[in-house]
Amino acid sequence: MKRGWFLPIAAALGFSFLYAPIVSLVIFSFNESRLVTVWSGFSTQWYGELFRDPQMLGAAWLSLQIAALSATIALVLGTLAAVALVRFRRFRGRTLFSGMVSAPLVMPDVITGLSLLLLFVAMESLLGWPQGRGMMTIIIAHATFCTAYVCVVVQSRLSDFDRSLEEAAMDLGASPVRTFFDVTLPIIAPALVSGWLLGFTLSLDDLVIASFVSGPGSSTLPMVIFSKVRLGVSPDVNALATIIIGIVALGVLAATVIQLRSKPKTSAP
Amino acid sequence: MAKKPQLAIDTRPWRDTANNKPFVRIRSVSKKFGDVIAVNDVSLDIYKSELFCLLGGSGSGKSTLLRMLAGFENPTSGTIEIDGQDMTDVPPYNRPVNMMFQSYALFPHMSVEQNIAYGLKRDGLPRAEINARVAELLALVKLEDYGKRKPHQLSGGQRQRVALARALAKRPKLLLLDEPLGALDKKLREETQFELVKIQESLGVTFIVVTHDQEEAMTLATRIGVMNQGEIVMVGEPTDIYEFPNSRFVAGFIGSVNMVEGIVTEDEPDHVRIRSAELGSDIYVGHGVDCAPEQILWWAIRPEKMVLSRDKPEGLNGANVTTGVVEEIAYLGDISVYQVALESGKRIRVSQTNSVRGNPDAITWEEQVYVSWDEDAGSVLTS
Repeated sequence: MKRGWFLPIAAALGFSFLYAPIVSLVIFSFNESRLVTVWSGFSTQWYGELFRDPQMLGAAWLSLQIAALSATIALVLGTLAAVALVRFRRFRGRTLFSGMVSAPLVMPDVITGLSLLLLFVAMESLLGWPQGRGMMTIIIAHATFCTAYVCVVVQSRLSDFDRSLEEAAMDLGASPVRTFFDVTLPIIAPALVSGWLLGFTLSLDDLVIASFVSGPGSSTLPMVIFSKVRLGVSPDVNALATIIIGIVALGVLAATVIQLRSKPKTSAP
Repeated sequence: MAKKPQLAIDTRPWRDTANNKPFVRIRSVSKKFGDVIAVNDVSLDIYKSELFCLLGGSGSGKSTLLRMLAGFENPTSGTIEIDGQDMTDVPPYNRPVNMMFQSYALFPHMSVEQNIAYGLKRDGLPRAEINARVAELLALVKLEDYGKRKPHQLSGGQRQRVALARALAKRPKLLLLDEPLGALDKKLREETQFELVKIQESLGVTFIVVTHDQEEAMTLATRIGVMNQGEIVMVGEPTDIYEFPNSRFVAGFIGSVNMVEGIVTEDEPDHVRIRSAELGSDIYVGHGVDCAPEQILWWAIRPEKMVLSRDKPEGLNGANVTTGVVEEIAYLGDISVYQVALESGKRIRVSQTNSVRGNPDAITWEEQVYVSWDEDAGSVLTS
């Protein structure tokens, strides 16, 4: 039977719809011309320019720090929430709690950002902390929505975790704490790593929430890019975007690979 | 069926309770999960070096009882003593007990050696001693060449043996096995039964095995405790359980059985006569039974304890013979099982050994036959 031509063409169209803009951006980042839309030859000069721009570099460094810190905080909080949801099967309000944990996943960024801003302002006037808005408030904001993602990832790993593994460790003489570090942690570690990577990339990505809760002198990379683009697209933004795409793609890829690699291999009896 | 370990009478401590102290003492233990009573007032004594089987269907409470012995569940009431020590408040990691899990629960991120060594490491033994012990155990379960593998690189039977080795590593006084052969296919299960008994005998460890497989229980056990709805309904050696069940539940749960209802017509110290309309004859039982005249009770007989014949046998005092038509024959090679429809409509099963090769004169379908039995062939059951 001859293969139909419809499916391959549909797939090609779909993928080009998704990736054509990105590919053109990557190509134009190597453009020699100052005009973004005119190709005049291959060059890496905009990458060089980018690395001589202190504002860009500062914003990039800030974004990386924020991403790392908020992902770490989210990892701890999200894991605790996931453990509570999976392990204490029948506590009161479990459904409510699990719904509330994943609500930030679907909440529009504008609302999350606005509500956090209001919270920070109120806290500052009532408690005097956090003083002003800046890196700290962005970290807190990012940690809140990343927690939801970490929780979902860890929860799925924990729910197919065989409890008898922990019982076996205790049966062999390991205290509960020892059991956690010897058995539970190594087995859920891949979920923790991919949860952290997910949080890291999400934080690095975020523009809307950061715009609400940042203050003077704490512009993250996406914010800087956005403001630059508003003044007219300059080719070094293309170069920067290409680098970010590379980092994000690597992060997502690593998270996926780690998650897949470590699917529990104890096949069913 | 595998052979039971050969024990001299004096190595069956449960037959002489006055002079032997039980090793595991379960005293009126109950366990409730919310409103559900999983284990209801169970008392049980298990002696050193026994291979005790807890046998029951799903939801009978056998696994819960085992988990209480391991310390994963706390009894709602009652006490558990192991080797004279009250275990009620002892956490699982401090009990002289190890467990082999139904899912084996091998640590997937550790090699076979690391799995076996895990318990020894927790005891803080020196490395050389651990290595020697691991090698010894690998040899015991015949997995010398597999020490470096990860559990997912092993077959089901090999994983089962690793789980056994890991559970034996700390030389527990008591080993608990939850459906140890449940995940293996039939052939492997039969081979493994022998090995398990051999290992248990050579080490002298007390085993408590939970199983739903009556054949497995009969093969392995020195004694069996039959559980139903959270209660122990009978404890006894496999032959007691099979030949002298104490209730309809036990008779029906283990092996195949014909059960009929009857009324006591003669109740003498040396014999009992029961009239059974279902069976279409009287039953003459050659020993006294604790019953009253006119009492309704049940009589259970195993298919192999009955005899089929074309000619009417003499019977016994005008009893113990009935007649019917052969409806079905299941030829199993060594034996044939005949389903005989009695005049009352009741169907009974009779099994006969096929001692003549390709017997052309064998009883066949639609034949009128007589079924007879011995005065002690059946069990009279009052509950």
